[in-house]
Amino acid sequence: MLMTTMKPGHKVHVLEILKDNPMARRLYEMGIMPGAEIEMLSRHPFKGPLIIKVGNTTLALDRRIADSIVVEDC
Amino acid sequence: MNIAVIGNPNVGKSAVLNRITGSNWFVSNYPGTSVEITSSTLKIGGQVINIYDTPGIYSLNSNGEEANLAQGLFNEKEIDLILNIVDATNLERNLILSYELSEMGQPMLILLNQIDRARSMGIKIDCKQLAASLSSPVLAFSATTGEGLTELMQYIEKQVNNKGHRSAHYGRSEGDRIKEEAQIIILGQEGKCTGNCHNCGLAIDDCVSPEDLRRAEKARHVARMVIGQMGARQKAWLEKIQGVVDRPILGTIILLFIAYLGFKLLLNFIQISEGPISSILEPVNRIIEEFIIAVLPSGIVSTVLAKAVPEGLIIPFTIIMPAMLMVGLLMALLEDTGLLPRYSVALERVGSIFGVSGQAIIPLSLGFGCRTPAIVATRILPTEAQRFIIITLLSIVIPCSATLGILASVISAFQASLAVIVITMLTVLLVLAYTLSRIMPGESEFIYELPPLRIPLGTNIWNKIKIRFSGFFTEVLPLLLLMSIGIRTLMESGVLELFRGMEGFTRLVFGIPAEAFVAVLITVFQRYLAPIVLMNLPLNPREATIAISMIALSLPCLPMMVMTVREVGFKSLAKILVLGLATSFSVGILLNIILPG
Repeated sequence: MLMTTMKPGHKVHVLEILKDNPMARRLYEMGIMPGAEIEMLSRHPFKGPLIIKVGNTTLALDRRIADSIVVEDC
Repeated sequence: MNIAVIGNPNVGKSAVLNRITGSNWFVSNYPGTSVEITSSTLKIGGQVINIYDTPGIYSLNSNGEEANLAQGLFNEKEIDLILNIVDATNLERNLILSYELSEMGQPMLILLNQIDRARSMGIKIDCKQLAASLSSPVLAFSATTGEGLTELMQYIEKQVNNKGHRSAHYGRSEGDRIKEEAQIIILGQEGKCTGNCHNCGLAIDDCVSPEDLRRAEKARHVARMVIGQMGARQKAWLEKIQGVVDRPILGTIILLFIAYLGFKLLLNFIQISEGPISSILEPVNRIIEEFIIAVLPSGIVSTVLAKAVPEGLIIPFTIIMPAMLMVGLLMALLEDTGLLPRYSVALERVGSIFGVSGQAIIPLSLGFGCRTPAIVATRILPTEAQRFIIITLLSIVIPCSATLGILASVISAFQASLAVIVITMLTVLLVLAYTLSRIMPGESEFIYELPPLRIPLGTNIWNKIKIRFSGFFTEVLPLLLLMSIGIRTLMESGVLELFRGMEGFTRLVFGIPAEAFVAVLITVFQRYLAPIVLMNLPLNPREATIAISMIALSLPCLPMMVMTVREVGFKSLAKILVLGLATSFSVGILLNIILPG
């Protein structure tokens, strides 16, 4: 499934970053790469940012980016 | 001896450096505070040590200015020791950079910073094992408590004494083995995408190479190996607050309330401080005036200076100085507590209307108080393009509290149409913001760290206020004095009178008399002087509406111009001035066409 569909409190593994994503490098640097464990903390309304937890880092993420991240349940 | 300090953004690099040198490094609980390499010297045992602080980077191969700066440092200087600052609470991600650095084969010391916070989170790190895997010594450190500082200084001293010799490794055999492994991985690839794998269609700088992934895998593996949990623990109260602040709706309400309190504090501070400052300034100004008249021979120079110098001191001291101090304090607090990026999240939707990130709302709303320090506050924006957009909007559209008060009084005096003026201003705001953000788009897709909430350190806050205020006496005040003298000279010389001949032209194009047009031009000097000129003119409501709209949407005031040059350079100011004049004239022409005669 895509990361955009995750509910708050949901924990997943990243399966893949969809190909040719210009943000791939940035995502990698932030710790979002295949195998990484991610928890959805909250979703801001009106298609606002997603707040996720990777390791001990809290990140704010554009929904358009989350659309290109494929995840699977832990 | 040269030491390069390198680490991820927001790992407390500057705080560590402040501990070591006691200097004025910016410390922010906000990623990406230092955007240039700052150097500082330290003397140990008669030896001078240069310490180079690099901007926070996630990887040496990152796509961006920061990583280029860090790489450039290694090309330009002979680095004797890499001081890699690692966030002990975020080992896995931080180690990726550590491995990249260790592959450079230079002596390196890893500082496990924020070890106190890690412990309070129940994280226990096996430093020896970590040192072995990195084949570099690892030191537990806390910039907050000072833990590890003595050991760090001893280590540096030892390095100074046997400069040129690599110091003894911790766990040599294990370290060498892993190092060899790393060497094999990077041989011929230099850890960077070569663009030849054809696995993706990305630009070289945007792609993640197999080496990157292998390094990440190793970081994950080692982090799991060296981290032990110290059992379940209680959530710290700061974390509980963070949990509330990070809630989408409740958090936004809390953040907006904090911002409201901040603005209230700012306005009250200016108001309260104005009385005492004026009462000190008034006799001083009288002495200055009398002194100038007594010293200089009577004539135009004496008249101009006797008026201009005291006038030129009033605004900087009564409004700008307290505003700069308070804005400096508030910004430092927002940064060091970790609240600032949270505003970005909460206001992201609003910001996207203007084509900028959410935190742009902060300088924009500050502008309603005083726009000069609001320009300083645009430093929080992530890109130069966004800064330019916001400074332009501040300069041309946003009315400061002084302007608002005077505009309101002129509007009622001439029975001008408030509705037309407000609608005009809002339209200009939207059109200008929309156009600018299309012409010079900022970052469209974002991902950033939300640092944990922290209690700011008093000394760090004080250092920031000092640095942000330092320009007041050296730049802001002298320039404003010069400008004040300039205006007085223009007024006394009668140059402005020449504009009377333009009556026919201004009537035809803008529908206002030449004197009102002069008032518009005076906004170049001080927006709130212009309405005072208007007050003496017999204007009908239509003329007043057009003239006030033109004044409300024109050029930034002098203090703003000074600050704009200081912050973003003369070229940007020139662009803003042209845009401001164009906006003001277009508004005048359009209103003259639209409004019924």
